[in-house]
Amino acid sequence: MFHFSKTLALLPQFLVGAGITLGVSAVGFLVGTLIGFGLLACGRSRWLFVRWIGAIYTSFIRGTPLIVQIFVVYYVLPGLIGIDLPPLVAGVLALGFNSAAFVAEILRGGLTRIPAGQYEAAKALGLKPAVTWLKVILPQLMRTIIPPMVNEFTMLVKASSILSVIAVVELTRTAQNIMNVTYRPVEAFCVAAVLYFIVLFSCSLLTRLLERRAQGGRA
Amino acid sequence: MSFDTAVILDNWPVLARGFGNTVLICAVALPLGFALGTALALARLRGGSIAATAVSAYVEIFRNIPFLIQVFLLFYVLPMFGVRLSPVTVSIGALTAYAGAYLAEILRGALQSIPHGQVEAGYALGLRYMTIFRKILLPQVVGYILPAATNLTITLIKESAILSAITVPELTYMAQDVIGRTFSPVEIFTAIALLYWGLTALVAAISRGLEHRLQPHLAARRAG
Repeated sequence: MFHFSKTLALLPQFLVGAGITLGVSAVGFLVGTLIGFGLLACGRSRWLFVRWIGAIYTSFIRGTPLIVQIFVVYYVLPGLIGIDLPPLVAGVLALGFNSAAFVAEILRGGLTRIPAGQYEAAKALGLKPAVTWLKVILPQLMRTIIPPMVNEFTMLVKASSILSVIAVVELTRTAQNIMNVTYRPVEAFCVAAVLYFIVLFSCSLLTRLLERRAQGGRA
Repeated sequence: MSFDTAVILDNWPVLARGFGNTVLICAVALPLGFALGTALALARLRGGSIAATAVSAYVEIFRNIPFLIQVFLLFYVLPMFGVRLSPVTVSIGALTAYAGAYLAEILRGALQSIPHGQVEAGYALGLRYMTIFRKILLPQVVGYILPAATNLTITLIKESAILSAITVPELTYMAQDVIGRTFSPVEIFTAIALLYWGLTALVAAISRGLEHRLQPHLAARRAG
């Protein structure tokens, strides 16, 4: 019933697809982290209007399906900015815009765990705000946010499969293309599923390890 | 750039049908997923080591493979065994299996957070485990899992958009259909984004209301 020989012969193509999946997710994650810091700044802004924009953005991203966001970036954004986006760029941007909302929440959550005394102590020592942030707050923030950030990366790897709908040739799209050559859909998607599982399961094991270590470090 | 609201109004019946299908599919898959998740969580906690291993394998597989791949696999695997189901049935099955995996984990955590002495007290009173589960554990767990279950519900609504890939006539698919005829992606995608946004906001609002009723002591503390 299952005939994997033809599909497995194309394993190198699958591996290239998996590489692109990881690459797209990684760049999307970077973009998301940058925008996420921006959103965090919006949330702490002095002006109500800016705080509102941040809140509406987060609510929109969390309240609409990623596939719709991808379509919006791919089909609607070019009309707004007047530049045609290739699928790969649109895909990476959509992933970044999406993950920014979640990254901002992770950052906000991490910051609430840093006691106010840290800021006061830095001020009492005469540190400038920039130095306080870089040398006092950020290192502590990093330690608490690493496990949820790895988790967010795994969410992005999973989400990146949806980029196949705008013809980004990542792992899922590769499986579809191979299915069209071999006429063996189940085998193609099984191989893709196994590759996804290997990547995602090792990431979630890493998250668990980091969480345990973070707890151990504090005890 | 122009925004033509007439396109939305002209195609409103089609979008409304898609929206109805999205709600329907989620409304059917959600209770089924809860039932499956409860069964899985009980099997994991009570069913011995083989059942526990099987359940944790199930959970890891469904949590570590993208939903789109799960949908494609189900869509193409079933016909190989001679099972021919409509895309809607396949999609309800896929959403149920997916929700079940996540809910099993949520429930397991919640059940493990209840002191074991309560189960022992139940046994000491001569109750069977299922009675203890229904009458003692479940009522306490319901309030506890509500926030996580709400998140899962919202995730389910959002994941259902992916079903457009196997031609399920839900909101996203209908939108693509309309865009194919009218070439107006801006208006139609804006419209369906707002519909999804409204739906998930409604779910979140209902959940907040329920939270106040199920856990008045916690709500009071939060307000105070």
